[in-house]
Amino acid sequence: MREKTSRTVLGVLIPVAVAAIGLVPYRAYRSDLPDRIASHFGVSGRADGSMTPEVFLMIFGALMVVGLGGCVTIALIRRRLQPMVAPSVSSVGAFLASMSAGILSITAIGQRGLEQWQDATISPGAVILWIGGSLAVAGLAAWVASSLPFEDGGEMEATPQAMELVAGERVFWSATLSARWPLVLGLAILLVGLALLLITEMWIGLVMLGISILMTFFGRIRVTADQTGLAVRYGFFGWPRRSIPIRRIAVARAVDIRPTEWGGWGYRGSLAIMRRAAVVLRAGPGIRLDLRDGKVFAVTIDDPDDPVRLLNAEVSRLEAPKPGL
Amino acid sequence: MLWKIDTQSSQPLHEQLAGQVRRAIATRALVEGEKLPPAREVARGLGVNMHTVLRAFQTLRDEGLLEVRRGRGTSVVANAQPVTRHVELARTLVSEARRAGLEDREILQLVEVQL
Repeated sequence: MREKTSRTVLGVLIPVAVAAIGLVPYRAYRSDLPDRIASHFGVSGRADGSMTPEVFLMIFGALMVVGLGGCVTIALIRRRLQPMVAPSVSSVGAFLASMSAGILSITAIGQRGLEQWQDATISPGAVILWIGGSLAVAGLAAWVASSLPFEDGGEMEATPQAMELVAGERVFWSATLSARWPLVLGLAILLVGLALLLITEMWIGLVMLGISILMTFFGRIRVTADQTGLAVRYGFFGWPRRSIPIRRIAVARAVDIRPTEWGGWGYRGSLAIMRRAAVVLRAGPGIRLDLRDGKVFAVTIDDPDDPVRLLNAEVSRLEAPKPGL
Repeated sequence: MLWKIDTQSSQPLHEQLAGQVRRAIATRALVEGEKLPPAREVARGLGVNMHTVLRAFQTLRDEGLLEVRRGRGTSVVANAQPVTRHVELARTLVSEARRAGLEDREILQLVEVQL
């Protein structure tokens, strides 16, 4: 996507569309809404909290403006930002704005003509459409923002090295990297989750339990490199697994990974949406793969020289003409 | 750790693999307690049969360098590094004695005399 198109989509099209979804139905049905509108629903879908339509509009309108402000700011900034900043800010902003616009719209359409707010209900279908739609808008914003030019050079100093491999030689490399912070954080979230499970609504506790399990995947990773490509196995059971086939790799480099440049710790970004993804357990050495389609994948690991030299050798072996052809 | 085999070498693949682990332990590229990747993965990465890798692991276990635990994987035993030196000395002794024409029984006798 061309830079100008990206800026237009991010700075104009997404904000106009989201604002229209949020404000047009609300304005159209404002006079049909009850004096107080339902603003909170229980798990059963029945209303259990209310406020006046003005306050409701003010809160979610403000959140929408803040979110869209993030997208517009990214579209307006001409200076090259660090990688991941534009897609991250845009997607968070677009998600916040879409969620706010969605709730305004669902409320206006769902509660028009009601006598009192207690009669309001919310259907699971509307909730799924609301969250799914917001995620889709956030994904679109991230994808569009990822094609904006960014600062990329600090870690590219290393010239790619390749191992000398003769015919018949096969090499396999494997290493593990552990980190304590995901386990400590996971445990903390688990305890808070358990406490919430006892004192408040069950789903909040369950979500936190789920998050704490996800955190353990980052307590340990095992990285392997061989003739088939690079693979990252998460957690203590080696599952799930992320593989980059050798055919996708253009060049491998040993780099110094700074979490701030990759959007933080954990699994950052997305190859499909943001064109960049990294598995970051700590600051320091790692492997950076530049893929043939221009995307970039990185993973932190100690002593990355061997796997980098191995992968480059396998890439050139793949490119070399096969004997007999 | 880097595993490298040469499929065109006359040395059997399982011996090449065992030799690499021994060297890695001797040079501390593999440290005591460190877990080795599952044999299945090493085999897939190198494009060899899993039994070839398992045979190398078994040899190293018999030499007292590795610990193979069902369900918990294969790891380097404590004090493996000094043991690698004895393993290498024994291998040298056996190959030199065979080259000199000694039978296996005679080599065993030779060692027993020293005990």
